[in-house]
Amino acid sequence: MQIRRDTIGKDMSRYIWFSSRDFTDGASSGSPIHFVNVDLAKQTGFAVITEGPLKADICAEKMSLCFIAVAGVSSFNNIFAQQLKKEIPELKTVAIAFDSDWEDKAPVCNAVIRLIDTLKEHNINIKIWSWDTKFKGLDDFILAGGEIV
Amino acid sequence: MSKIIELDIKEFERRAKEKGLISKTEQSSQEYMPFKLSWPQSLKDVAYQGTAGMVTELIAPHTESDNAALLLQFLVAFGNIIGRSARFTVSGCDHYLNFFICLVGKTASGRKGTSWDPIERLFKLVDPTWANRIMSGLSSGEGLIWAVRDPIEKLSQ
Repeated sequence: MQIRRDTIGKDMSRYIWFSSRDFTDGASSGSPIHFVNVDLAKQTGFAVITEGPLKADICAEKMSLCFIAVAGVSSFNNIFAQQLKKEIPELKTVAIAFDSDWEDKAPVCNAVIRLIDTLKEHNINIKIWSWDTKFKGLDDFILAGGEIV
Repeated sequence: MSKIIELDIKEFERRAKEKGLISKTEQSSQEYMPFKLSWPQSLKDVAYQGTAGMVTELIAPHTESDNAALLLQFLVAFGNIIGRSARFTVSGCDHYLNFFICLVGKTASGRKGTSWDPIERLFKLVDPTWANRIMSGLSSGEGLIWAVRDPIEKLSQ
């Protein structure tokens, strides 16, 4: 379970996971992958990978596509592709739609490269989506009337 | 309103290089590593045998650590907890399950310790006494000797 704080102070994260990791014998939340419209990916072999479950829900609703969300751009390990193939064996092609700041920020760009490397190992075809960078998230772009090619 | 442009990997890399993003990334890694290392290839499925493989598979979706690290941590803990008892024999030579690993990764973000946490928790349930003997921070051979020394007893007036 993830909580979105309405207000945040300096150095505070907007999103926090529900976990008891800081307590004795507490459990970590892990970094679960969020899936929306999995049936569509099973039919078409196509899905979009984005960051943030809420963003994925909005985009999936507006675009009628399967969306897979990681918690943050770096929140995936090198078995991520293995997990995707396990959940959706029919998956052939993915589009990476991280926030548009991959075009400006090296760490975000680096995360995209790492994701590409992970997916390539499992022979998944990869596309990277790019849109007007004045819209940070794909959801912002779509809600403003942006279209898919 | 503009449209989404679909880039292939080559076009993505060209753009990233053009903006200096790839070279910036490489430079920042160089600050920490004297030579460039790529992430090792995943272990093949055949590595995840039996209970060790099953435990790894159950934990993997709930951790950021690498699958190989989880598997190796399990095997080391298991081998250590049963001690030099169970063995298999190859060409007349007994092989015990004592096993040593060295996990290499970035400080703080490499998820080395993260791979140990769930395994330690599991084996604590198996043998709490064994779990109490786990030591950390042994920085030298002397540190190890000190940790396993007999108690020092002195007479005083």
